Amino acid sequence: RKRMAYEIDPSSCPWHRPYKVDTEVSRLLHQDITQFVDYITPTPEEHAVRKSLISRINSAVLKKWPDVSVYVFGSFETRLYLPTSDLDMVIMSSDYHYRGTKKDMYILAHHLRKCKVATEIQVITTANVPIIKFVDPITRIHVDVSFNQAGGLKTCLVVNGFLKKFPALRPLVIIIKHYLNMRALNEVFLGGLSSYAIVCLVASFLQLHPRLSTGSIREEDNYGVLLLELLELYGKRFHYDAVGIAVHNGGFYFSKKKQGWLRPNQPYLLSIMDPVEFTNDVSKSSRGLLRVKATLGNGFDLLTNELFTLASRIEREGARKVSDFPSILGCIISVDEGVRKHRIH
Amino acid sequence: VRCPESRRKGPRRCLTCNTESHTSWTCPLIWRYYVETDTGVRVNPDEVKKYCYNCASGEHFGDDCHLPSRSNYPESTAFCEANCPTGNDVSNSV
Ligand SMILES: [Zn+2]
Ligand SMILES: [Zn+2]
Repeated sequence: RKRMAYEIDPSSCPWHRPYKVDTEVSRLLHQDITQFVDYITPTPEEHAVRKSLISRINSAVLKKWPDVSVYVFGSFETRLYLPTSDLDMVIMSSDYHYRGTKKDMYILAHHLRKCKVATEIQVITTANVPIIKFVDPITRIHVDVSFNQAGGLKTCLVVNGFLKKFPALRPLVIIIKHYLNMRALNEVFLGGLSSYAIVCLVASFLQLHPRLSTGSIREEDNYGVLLLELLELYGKRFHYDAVGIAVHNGGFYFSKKKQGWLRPNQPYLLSIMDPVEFTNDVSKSSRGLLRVKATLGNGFDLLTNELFTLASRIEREGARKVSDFPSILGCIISVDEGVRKHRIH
Repeated sequence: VRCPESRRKGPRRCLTCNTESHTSWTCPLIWRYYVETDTGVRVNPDEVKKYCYNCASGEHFGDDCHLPSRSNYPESTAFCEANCPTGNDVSNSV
Protein backbone atom coordinates (compact mmCIF):
# COMPACT_ATOMS: atom_id res chain seq x y z
CA ARG A 1 0.00 0.00 0.00
CA LYS A 2 1.16 3.51 -0.74
CA ARG A 3 2.08 5.55 2.29
CA MET A 4 3.01 9.12 2.91
CA ALA A 5 6.67 10.03 3.08
CA TYR A 6 6.61 9.27 6.78
CA GLU A 7 5.09 6.29 8.54
CA ILE A 8 2.67 6.98 11.35
CA ASP A 9 3.33 5.00 14.46
CA PRO A 10 0.11 3.42 15.83
CA SER A 11 1.07 4.40 19.37
CA SER A 12 0.61 7.98 18.17
CA CYS A 13 -3.17 7.40 17.99
CA PRO A 14 -3.91 7.81 21.71
CA TRP A 15 -7.57 8.64 20.98
CA HIS A 16 -8.29 5.23 19.54
CA ARG A 17 -10.66 2.83 21.35
CA PRO A 18 -11.91 -0.54 20.04
CA TYR A 19 -14.69 -0.11 17.48
CA LYS A 20 -18.24 -1.19 18.15
CA VAL A 21 -19.35 -3.93 15.76
CA ASP A 22 -20.39 -2.56 12.40
CA THR A 23 -20.25 -3.82 8.83
CA GLU A 24 -20.04 -0.40 7.20
CA VAL A 25 -16.56 1.06 7.01
CA SER A 26 -17.81 4.65 6.82
CA ARG A 27 -19.50 4.12 10.17
CA LEU A 28 -16.24 2.81 11.63
CA LEU A 29 -14.67 6.05 10.43
CA HIS A 30 -17.55 7.93 12.07
CA GLN A 31 -16.71 6.22 15.38
CA ASP A 32 -13.03 7.06 14.97
CA ILE A 33 -13.78 10.73 14.22
CA THR A 34 -15.99 10.99 17.30
CA GLN A 35 -13.22 9.50 19.46
CA PHE A 36 -10.57 11.77 17.99
CA VAL A 37 -12.68 14.88 18.53
CA ASP A 38 -13.46 13.87 22.12
CA TYR A 39 -9.76 13.37 22.74
CA ILE A 40 -8.50 16.57 21.17
CA THR A 41 -11.22 18.92 22.46
CA PRO A 42 -9.85 21.02 25.29
CA THR A 43 -10.82 19.78 28.72
CA PRO A 44 -12.49 22.15 31.19
CA GLU A 45 -9.15 22.32 33.04
CA GLU A 46 -7.30 23.35 29.89
CA HIS A 47 -9.94 25.93 29.16
CA ALA A 48 -9.54 27.28 32.68
CA VAL A 49 -5.76 27.49 32.19
CA ARG A 50 -6.27 29.60 29.07
CA LYS A 51 -8.83 31.75 30.85
CA SER A 52 -6.45 32.53 33.67
CA LEU A 53 -3.68 33.38 31.18
CA ILE A 54 -6.11 35.76 29.50
CA SER A 55 -6.88 37.51 32.76
CA ARG A 56 -3.14 37.80 33.60
CA ILE A 57 -2.48 39.41 30.21
CA ASN A 58 -5.55 41.59 30.53
CA SER A 59 -4.53 43.02 33.87
CA ALA A 60 -0.94 43.55 32.71
CA VAL A 61 -2.13 45.52 29.69
CA LEU A 62 -4.60 47.59 31.72
CA LYS A 63 -1.90 48.45 34.22
CA LYS A 64 -0.04 50.21 31.39
CA TRP A 65 -3.02 51.52 29.43
CA PRO A 66 -6.14 51.73 31.64
CA ASP A 67 -8.20 53.20 28.80
CA VAL A 68 -8.05 50.27 26.32
CA SER A 69 -10.21 47.15 26.03
CA VAL A 70 -8.69 43.70 25.59
CA TYR A 71 -10.64 41.00 23.76
CA VAL A 72 -10.06 37.37 22.88
CA PHE A 73 -11.20 36.06 19.53
CA GLY A 74 -10.43 33.27 17.11
CA SER A 75 -10.37 29.67 18.15
CA PHE A 76 -10.54 30.38 21.89
CA GLU A 77 -13.95 31.96 21.63
CA THR A 78 -15.24 29.33 19.21
CA ARG A 79 -13.57 26.49 21.16
CA LEU A 80 -12.09 25.15 17.95
CA TYR A 81 -8.55 25.32 19.24
CA LEU A 82 -6.12 22.43 19.45
CA PRO A 83 -4.01 21.98 22.59
CA THR A 84 -1.11 23.74 20.85
CA SER A 85 -3.11 26.48 19.14
CA ASP A 86 -2.14 30.12 19.56
CA LEU A 87 -4.27 32.43 21.65
CA ASP A 88 -5.52 35.43 19.65
CA MET A 89 -6.09 38.70 21.45
CA VAL A 90 -6.85 42.21 20.27
CA ILE A 91 -6.37 45.53 21.99
CA MET A 92 -8.98 48.14 21.06
CA SER A 93 -8.08 51.78 21.64
CA SER A 94 -10.49 54.10 23.41
CA ASP A 95 -11.87 57.13 21.61
CA TYR A 96 -9.39 59.35 23.42
CA HIS A 97 -6.07 57.58 22.96
CA TYR A 98 -5.03 55.74 19.85
CA ARG A 99 -2.81 52.78 20.82
CA GLY A 100 -1.22 50.77 18.07
CA THR A 101 1.67 52.74 16.63
CA LYS A 102 5.02 51.02 16.19
CA LYS A 103 6.24 52.80 19.29
CA ASP A 104 3.22 51.62 21.30
CA MET A 105 3.90 48.05 20.27
CA TYR A 106 7.46 48.18 21.60
CA ILE A 107 6.31 49.89 24.80
CA LEU A 108 3.74 47.17 25.41
CA ALA A 109 6.16 44.37 24.56
CA HIS A 110 8.65 45.71 27.06
CA HIS A 111 5.93 46.09 29.69
CA LEU A 112 4.62 42.54 29.21
CA ARG A 113 8.13 41.18 29.67
CA LYS A 114 8.53 43.18 32.86
CA CYS A 115 5.20 41.83 34.15
CA LYS A 116 6.50 38.29 33.44
CA VAL A 117 3.59 37.31 31.19
CA ALA A 118 5.72 37.24 28.04
CA THR A 119 8.94 35.63 26.88
CA GLU A 120 10.34 35.02 23.40
CA ILE A 121 8.71 38.25 22.25
CA GLN A 122 8.57 39.19 18.57
CA VAL A 123 7.18 42.53 17.47
CA ILE A 124 6.08 42.18 13.85
CA THR A 125 5.35 45.61 12.40
CA THR A 126 5.78 44.73 8.72
CA ALA A 127 2.91 42.25 8.39
CA ASN A 128 -0.50 43.07 6.94
CA VAL A 129 -1.81 43.13 10.48
CA PRO A 130 0.99 44.18 12.86
CA ILE A 131 1.18 41.90 15.90
CA ILE A 132 3.15 41.12 19.01
CA LYS A 133 3.88 37.40 19.33
CA PHE A 134 5.06 35.91 22.58
CA VAL A 135 5.06 32.82 24.74
CA ASP A 136 3.62 32.72 28.24
CA PRO A 137 6.42 31.48 30.52
CA ILE A 138 4.05 29.52 32.78
CA THR A 139 1.81 27.65 30.33
CA ARG A 140 4.09 27.86 27.25
CA ILE A 141 1.01 28.92 25.28
CA HIS A 142 1.76 31.10 22.23
CA VAL A 143 -0.10 34.40 22.14
CA ASP A 144 -0.72 36.83 19.25
CA VAL A 145 -1.78 40.36 20.16
CA SER A 146 -3.08 42.67 17.44
CA PHE A 147 -4.34 46.25 17.64
CA ASN A 148 -7.69 47.81 16.73
CA GLN A 149 -8.77 44.93 14.50
CA ALA A 150 -12.51 44.53 15.00
CA GLY A 151 -12.81 42.02 12.15
CA GLY A 152 -11.77 39.06 14.28
CA LEU A 153 -14.49 39.79 16.80
CA LYS A 154 -17.24 39.83 14.16
CA THR A 155 -16.06 36.62 12.54
CA CYS A 156 -16.27 34.92 15.92
CA LEU A 157 -20.00 35.60 16.05
CA VAL A 158 -20.49 34.20 12.55
CA VAL A 159 -18.46 31.08 13.30
CA ASN A 160 -20.34 30.46 16.52
CA GLY A 161 -23.61 30.79 14.59
CA PHE A 162 -22.45 28.22 12.04
CA LEU A 163 -21.29 25.86 14.78
CA LYS A 164 -24.79 25.90 16.27
CA LYS A 165 -26.44 25.37 12.92
CA PHE A 166 -24.20 22.61 11.51
CA PRO A 167 -23.50 19.73 13.91
CA ALA A 168 -20.81 18.25 11.64
CA LEU A 169 -18.92 21.54 11.33
CA ARG A 170 -16.93 21.22 14.55
CA PRO A 171 -15.70 17.62 14.05
CA LEU A 172 -14.85 18.15 10.36
CA VAL A 173 -13.07 21.45 10.98
CA ILE A 174 -11.07 19.94 13.83
CA ILE A 175 -9.93 17.02 11.65
CA ILE A 176 -9.01 19.22 8.66
CA LYS A 177 -7.31 21.76 10.87
CA HIS A 178 -5.25 19.12 12.64
CA TYR A 179 -4.39 17.39 9.37
CA LEU A 180 -3.24 20.62 7.67
CA ASN A 181 -1.55 21.81 10.86
CA MET A 182 0.64 18.68 10.93
CA ARG A 183 1.84 19.60 7.44
CA ALA A 184 2.40 23.29 8.28
CA LEU A 185 -0.51 24.27 6.01
CA ASN A 186 -2.62 25.95 8.71
CA GLU A 187 -0.47 29.11 8.81
CA VAL A 188 -1.38 31.91 6.44
CA PHE A 189 2.11 33.42 6.53
CA LEU A 190 3.41 30.10 5.19
CA GLY A 191 0.80 30.17 2.41
CA GLY A 192 -1.65 27.84 4.13
CA LEU A 193 -5.33 28.16 5.02
CA SER A 194 -6.47 30.10 8.06
CA SER A 195 -8.83 28.44 10.50
CA TYR A 196 -11.52 30.86 9.41
CA ALA A 197 -11.07 29.80 5.78
CA ILE A 198 -11.34 26.14 6.83
CA VAL A 199 -14.57 26.89 8.70
CA CYS A 200 -15.99 28.57 5.57
CA LEU A 201 -14.93 25.69 3.30
CA VAL A 202 -16.57 23.08 5.51
CA ALA A 203 -19.69 25.20 6.07
CA SER A 204 -20.13 25.66 2.30
CA PHE A 205 -19.77 21.91 1.75
CA LEU A 206 -22.49 21.22 4.33
CA GLN A 207 -24.76 23.97 2.99
CA LEU A 208 -24.67 22.64 -0.57
CA HIS A 209 -24.61 18.86 0.00
CA PRO A 210 -27.64 17.40 -1.82
CA ARG A 211 -28.34 14.71 0.80
CA LEU A 212 -28.25 17.24 3.63
CA SER A 213 -30.31 19.85 1.86
CA THR A 214 -33.04 17.33 1.06
CA GLY A 215 -33.00 16.14 4.67
CA SER A 216 -32.47 12.52 3.64
CA ILE A 217 -29.53 12.24 6.05
CA ARG A 218 -28.49 13.96 9.26
CA GLU A 219 -25.01 15.40 9.72
CA GLU A 220 -24.52 13.87 13.15
CA ASP A 221 -24.98 10.30 11.85
CA ASN A 222 -22.58 10.63 8.92
CA TYR A 223 -19.23 12.13 9.94
CA GLY A 224 -17.30 9.38 8.13
CA VAL A 225 -18.83 9.65 4.69
CA LEU A 226 -19.01 13.45 4.99
CA LEU A 227 -15.28 13.72 5.76
CA LEU A 228 -14.46 11.64 2.69
CA GLU A 229 -16.81 13.61 0.45
CA LEU A 230 -15.35 16.86 1.77
CA LEU A 231 -11.82 15.72 0.86
CA GLU A 232 -13.10 14.41 -2.48
CA LEU A 233 -14.68 17.75 -3.33
CA TYR A 234 -11.80 20.04 -2.36
CA GLY A 235 -8.96 17.62 -3.08
CA LYS A 236 -10.14 16.14 -6.36
CA ARG A 237 -12.93 18.04 -8.03
CA PHE A 238 -13.45 21.66 -7.08
CA HIS A 239 -12.53 24.04 -9.92
CA TYR A 240 -10.64 26.70 -7.98
CA ASP A 241 -9.84 28.75 -11.10
CA ALA A 242 -13.49 29.42 -11.90
CA VAL A 243 -15.57 29.07 -8.75
CA GLY A 244 -15.68 31.19 -5.61
CA ILE A 245 -17.40 30.28 -2.36
CA ALA A 246 -19.91 32.33 -0.36
CA VAL A 247 -21.46 31.15 2.91
CA HIS A 248 -23.96 33.93 3.64
CA ASN A 249 -27.64 33.72 2.58
CA GLY A 250 -27.58 29.96 2.98
CA GLY A 251 -24.46 29.55 0.84
CA PHE A 252 -23.78 29.67 -2.89
CA TYR A 253 -21.02 29.66 -5.49
CA PHE A 254 -20.11 32.61 -7.69
CA SER A 255 -17.99 33.10 -10.76
CA LYS A 256 -14.56 34.44 -9.80
CA LYS A 257 -14.27 36.11 -13.18
CA LYS A 258 -17.61 37.94 -12.94
CA GLN A 259 -16.77 39.02 -9.41
CA GLY A 260 -13.44 40.40 -10.62
CA TRP A 261 -11.62 38.11 -8.22
CA LEU A 262 -9.70 36.08 -10.78
CA ARG A 263 -5.99 36.81 -10.40
CA PRO A 264 -4.33 36.43 -13.79
CA ASN A 265 -1.03 35.35 -12.30
CA GLN A 266 -2.52 33.06 -9.67
CA PRO A 267 -5.85 31.84 -11.10
CA TYR A 268 -5.66 28.72 -8.93
CA LEU A 269 -6.15 30.61 -5.64
CA LEU A 270 -9.19 29.80 -3.54
CA SER A 271 -11.71 32.65 -3.20
CA ILE A 272 -14.03 32.85 -0.23
CA MET A 273 -16.33 35.84 0.20
CA ASP A 274 -16.09 36.95 3.81
CA PRO A 275 -19.58 36.68 5.33
CA VAL A 276 -18.95 39.72 7.53
CA GLU A 277 -17.35 41.88 4.80
CA PHE A 278 -18.40 40.91 1.28
CA THR A 279 -15.57 42.79 -0.41
CA ASN A 280 -12.99 40.78 1.50
CA ASP A 281 -11.59 37.51 0.13
CA VAL A 282 -10.87 35.36 3.19
CA SER A 283 -8.30 33.15 1.49
CA LYS A 284 -6.54 35.62 -0.82
CA SER A 285 -3.23 35.24 1.02
CA SER A 286 -3.19 31.44 0.92
CA ARG A 287 -0.52 31.23 -1.79
CA GLY A 288 0.13 27.56 -1.16
CA LEU A 289 -3.34 26.57 -2.27
CA LEU A 290 -2.06 23.99 -4.75
CA ARG A 291 -0.24 22.25 -1.92
CA VAL A 292 -3.34 22.44 0.26
CA LYS A 293 -5.40 20.89 -2.54
CA ALA A 294 -2.86 18.12 -3.14
CA THR A 295 -2.75 17.41 0.59
CA LEU A 296 -6.53 17.13 0.85
CA GLY A 297 -6.59 14.84 -2.20
CA ASN A 298 -3.82 12.73 -0.73
CA GLY A 299 -5.76 12.44 2.52
CA PHE A 300 -8.72 11.21 0.51
CA ASP A 301 -6.59 8.54 -1.21
CA LEU A 302 -5.04 7.35 2.04
CA LEU A 303 -8.36 7.14 3.89
CA THR A 304 -10.23 5.38 1.08
CA ASN A 305 -7.35 2.88 0.65
CA GLU A 306 -7.51 2.13 4.34
CA LEU A 307 -11.29 1.65 4.13
CA PHE A 308 -10.98 -0.72 1.14
CA THR A 309 -8.51 -2.79 3.16
CA LEU A 310 -10.81 -2.87 6.18
CA ALA A 311 -13.85 -3.72 4.02
CA SER A 312 -12.08 -6.76 2.64
CA ARG A 313 -11.01 -7.76 6.15
CA ILE A 314 -14.64 -7.57 7.26
CA GLU A 315 -15.47 -9.75 4.28
CA ARG A 316 -12.83 -12.33 5.27
CA GLU A 317 -12.89 -12.21 9.06
CA GLY A 318 -16.44 -11.03 9.79
CA ALA A 319 -17.73 -7.89 11.48
CA ARG A 320 -16.97 -9.19 14.98
CA LYS A 321 -13.27 -8.62 14.38
CA VAL A 322 -13.65 -4.88 13.83
CA SER A 323 -12.88 -4.13 17.47
CA ASP A 324 -9.24 -5.07 16.72
CA PHE A 325 -8.99 -2.79 13.70
CA PRO A 326 -6.56 0.12 13.94
CA SER A 327 -7.57 3.77 13.93
CA ILE A 328 -8.54 4.77 10.39
CA LEU A 329 -7.63 8.41 10.93
CA GLY A 330 -4.22 7.13 12.02
CA CYS A 331 -3.24 6.94 8.36
CA ILE A 332 -3.48 10.72 8.02
CA ILE A 333 -3.31 12.10 11.55
CA SER A 334 -1.15 11.54 14.57
CA VAL A 335 -0.78 13.26 17.89
CA ASP A 336 2.81 14.04 18.69
CA GLU A 337 4.40 13.88 22.07
CA GLY A 338 4.09 17.61 22.63
CA VAL A 339 0.33 17.44 22.30
CA ARG A 340 0.07 14.27 24.36
CA LYS A 341 1.99 15.89 27.21
CA HIS A 342 -0.16 18.97 26.83
CA ARG A 343 -3.20 16.73 27.04
CA ILE A 344 -2.12 15.28 30.38
CA HIS A 345 -1.33 18.53 32.16
CA VAL B 1 -27.89 1.01 -1.54
CA ARG B 2 -24.97 -1.41 -1.65
CA CYS B 3 -24.84 -3.98 -4.41
CA PRO B 4 -23.60 -7.33 -3.07
CA GLU B 5 -21.24 -7.56 -6.00
CA SER B 6 -19.27 -4.58 -4.83
CA ARG B 7 -16.92 -6.52 -2.60
CA ARG B 8 -16.70 -9.74 -4.57
CA LYS B 9 -13.52 -10.56 -6.39
CA GLY B 10 -13.98 -9.84 -10.05
CA PRO B 11 -12.33 -8.74 -13.24
CA ARG B 12 -10.61 -5.41 -13.66
CA ARG B 13 -13.91 -3.64 -13.84
CA CYS B 14 -16.45 -2.94 -11.13
CA LEU B 15 -19.39 -5.30 -11.36
CA THR B 16 -21.64 -2.94 -9.38
CA CYS B 17 -21.06 0.16 -11.43
CA ASN B 18 -20.10 -1.61 -14.64
CA THR B 19 -17.16 0.71 -15.06
CA GLU B 20 -13.45 0.36 -15.65
CA SER B 21 -12.51 3.38 -13.58
CA HIS B 22 -12.21 1.14 -10.51
CA THR B 23 -12.48 -2.53 -9.54
CA SER B 24 -15.04 -4.17 -7.27
CA TRP B 25 -12.41 -3.89 -4.53
CA THR B 26 -11.98 -0.17 -4.85
CA CYS B 27 -15.59 0.76 -5.51
CA PRO B 28 -16.53 4.13 -3.96
CA LEU B 29 -19.84 2.58 -2.90
CA ILE B 30 -17.84 0.67 -0.28
CA TRP B 31 -17.39 3.91 1.66
CA ARG B 32 -20.13 6.14 0.23
CA TYR B 33 -22.70 4.77 2.61
CA TYR B 34 -25.22 7.12 4.22
CA VAL B 35 -27.12 6.56 7.44
CA GLU B 36 -30.52 7.83 6.37
CA THR B 37 -33.12 9.50 8.56
CA ASP B 38 -36.35 7.75 9.50
CA THR B 39 -38.37 10.68 8.32
CA GLY B 40 -36.89 10.73 4.83
CA VAL B 41 -36.83 13.70 2.51
CA ARG B 42 -38.24 16.77 4.20
CA VAL B 43 -37.69 19.27 1.42
CA ASN B 44 -39.24 19.33 -2.00
CA PRO B 45 -36.29 18.23 -4.15
CA ASP B 46 -37.25 20.77 -6.80
CA GLU B 47 -36.49 23.46 -4.28
CA VAL B 48 -33.05 22.12 -3.37
CA LYS B 49 -30.47 24.58 -4.51
CA LYS B 50 -27.93 23.35 -6.96
CA TYR B 51 -24.57 24.96 -7.43
CA CYS B 52 -21.86 23.77 -9.76
CA TYR B 53 -18.32 23.34 -8.36
CA ASN B 54 -17.06 23.32 -11.96
CA CYS B 55 -18.59 26.49 -13.50
CA ALA B 56 -20.35 28.20 -10.55
CA SER B 57 -23.75 27.98 -12.24
CA GLY B 58 -26.77 27.87 -9.95
CA GLU B 59 -28.66 25.51 -12.28
CA HIS B 60 -26.99 22.13 -11.87
CA PHE B 61 -24.63 20.11 -9.66
CA GLY B 62 -20.93 19.94 -10.50
CA ASP B 63 -20.93 16.31 -11.68
CA ASP B 64 -23.66 17.17 -14.21
CA CYS B 65 -21.82 20.16 -15.69
CA HIS B 66 -21.71 20.35 -19.47
CA LEU B 67 -18.38 22.17 -19.45
CA PRO B 68 -15.28 19.98 -19.53
CA SER B 69 -13.92 19.15 -16.09
CA ARG B 70 -10.31 20.04 -15.33
CA SER B 71 -10.16 17.20 -12.84
CA ASN B 72 -8.85 13.78 -13.81
CA TYR B 73 -10.74 12.13 -10.96
CA PRO B 74 -12.96 9.61 -12.72
CA GLU B 75 -15.66 8.94 -10.11
CA SER B 76 -18.90 10.73 -9.45
CA THR B 77 -19.03 12.68 -6.19
CA ALA B 78 -21.78 13.61 -3.76
CA PHE B 79 -22.71 16.55 -5.98
CA CYS B 80 -24.90 15.07 -8.70
CA GLU B 81 -28.59 14.78 -9.51
CA ALA B 82 -28.42 11.04 -8.79
CA ASN B 83 -27.43 11.79 -5.20
CA CYS B 84 -30.35 14.16 -4.65
CA PRO B 85 -33.13 11.84 -3.51
CA THR B 86 -36.67 12.77 -4.47
CA GLY B 87 -39.55 12.10 -2.11
CA ASN B 88 -40.42 8.88 -3.95
CA ASP B 89 -36.99 7.34 -3.40
CA VAL B 90 -37.37 7.15 0.31
CA SER B 91 -38.77 3.74 1.09
CA ASN B 92 -38.79 4.20 4.85
CA SER B 93 -40.72 7.44 4.86
CA VAL B 94 -44.03 7.36 6.70
ZN1 LIG C 1 -18.18 0.40 -8.38
ZN1 LIG D 1 -21.48 23.66 -14.40
